[in-house]
Amino acid sequence: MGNIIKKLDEFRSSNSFFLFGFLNSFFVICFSIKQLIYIDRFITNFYLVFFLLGGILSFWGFGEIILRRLNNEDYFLISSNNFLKIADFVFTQKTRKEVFEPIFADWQEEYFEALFKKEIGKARWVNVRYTYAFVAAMWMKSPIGDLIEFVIKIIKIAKP
Amino acid sequence: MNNEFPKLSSKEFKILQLLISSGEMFGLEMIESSEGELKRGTIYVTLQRMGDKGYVESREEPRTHPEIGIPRRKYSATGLGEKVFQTNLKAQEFFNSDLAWGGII
Repeated sequence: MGNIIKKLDEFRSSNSFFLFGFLNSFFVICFSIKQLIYIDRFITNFYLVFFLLGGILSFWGFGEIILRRLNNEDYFLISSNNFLKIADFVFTQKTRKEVFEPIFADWQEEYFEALFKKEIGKARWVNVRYTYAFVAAMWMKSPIGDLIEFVIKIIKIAKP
Repeated sequence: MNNEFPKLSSKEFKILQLLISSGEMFGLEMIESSEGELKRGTIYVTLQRMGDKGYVESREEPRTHPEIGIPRRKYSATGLGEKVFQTNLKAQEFFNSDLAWGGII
């Protein structure tokens, strides 16, 4: 039993799970948008289950892994590098400097402040919050995000 | 010359209001002062757009305690930003006044 828990812990600390959590957050946002478009009816049960699972996994996986990495001395640089690598892949250097780096700077600020005050719960919450902020900023800066926002506007205008 | 009226979104209006009343500010300070109007995930995207339009400018502020980590950015309103804010404020005041409706309301 102890071995299984150890293996699970290893998996939860791995990069693949980190990516899994990130993708889940992305799906959660996609389904939220879809739900916003079809505001008058609730999307099928399948999506609902997926939506809930995605949310739970994002909180559990993503938040937990970030916290675990924070316990290592060199955590923060590794983690922010992981996030910034994703941003580098999609966006320009200007966007990285003006949008994503300030988010991480604030993340560090709030996180270390919480740790300094020994508020572990708050530190955990800061991680979840900024993970979401990062995904939201990515969404806002992405051409797909712009396109969907445009479609939503058109639908809202066209609605009688 | 572009003669189009420079309309501000509610977020842009709030950011300029904070920057004009308080001077130079960090993004996080603006979030805390806005009482929930500005969010962590959207403020920097909005600030970048405002920077492109020339309404705000920013500079990197090196960290002091501790001296490690990503440097934070301090933002301030430009002359154009202040002018656009004042214009929007006046337009809003006029829209809300009796004069705009010819005494109907």
